[in-house]
Amino acid sequence: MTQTKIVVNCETGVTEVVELTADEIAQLEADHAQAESDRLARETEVARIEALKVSARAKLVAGESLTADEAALIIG
Amino acid sequence: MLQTLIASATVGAGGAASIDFNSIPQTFTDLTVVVSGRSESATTTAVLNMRFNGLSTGIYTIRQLRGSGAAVSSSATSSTSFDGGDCIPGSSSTGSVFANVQYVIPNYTQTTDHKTIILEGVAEGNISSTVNVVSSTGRSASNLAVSSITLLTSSNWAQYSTAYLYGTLKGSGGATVS
Repeated sequence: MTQTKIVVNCETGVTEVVELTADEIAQLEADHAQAESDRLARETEVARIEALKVSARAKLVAGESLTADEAALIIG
Repeated sequence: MLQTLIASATVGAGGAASIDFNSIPQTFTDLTVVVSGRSESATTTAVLNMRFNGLSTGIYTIRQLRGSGAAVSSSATSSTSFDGGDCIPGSSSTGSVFANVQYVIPNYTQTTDHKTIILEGVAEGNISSTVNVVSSTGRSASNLAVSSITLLTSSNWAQYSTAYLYGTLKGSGGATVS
């Protein structure tokens, strides 16, 4: 499948659909891989924080000691 | 303050790898980019990225606050593009929903300092859960005036995605308070 991009020339107002060069396709593939890696890292971090919250909340209610990570979540 | 539409783009059938605004006039004070976007990425949410002048080295630093459902998170990172977070609906999200995102780029013509970028975005879901809200600020460590902007997502932009580029001119009227 041909990869294309939309190019708008703001001086002339002309909009073109342009085929990507081999270099641009390589850059795009790297960009997509990086974006997906960033997204997964954020998803993992949110899950980690939510699990720490659940654990810290239960320990506080039960009067148990928190781990360093749980304490850091509460007071930074 | 006067805001003028400089240019706009709408993605057609088959999608597009990027939306590029080139030859941006250097006659305004600030730029605003408004995106209504959806990605062809086979995920619920996809990443929104921006580049200036085609620069793809690690010159972009980002400070970001995120909300996903009731979960909040934050980060301080650097990257090869201005990472706007996961605020674009992917193809696994509710059908026909698009993100609403606004970038502001103040003083984009100056050539003595780095460029600031401010972003507010939300991935619409038309559902009660997992709607991502992103608030970011950051900079591009380049003194070059911004003459082109590239908008990318985790995959192709889906059909009907739009981007509008506005120029803001500071007003000449008003009183000076001393």
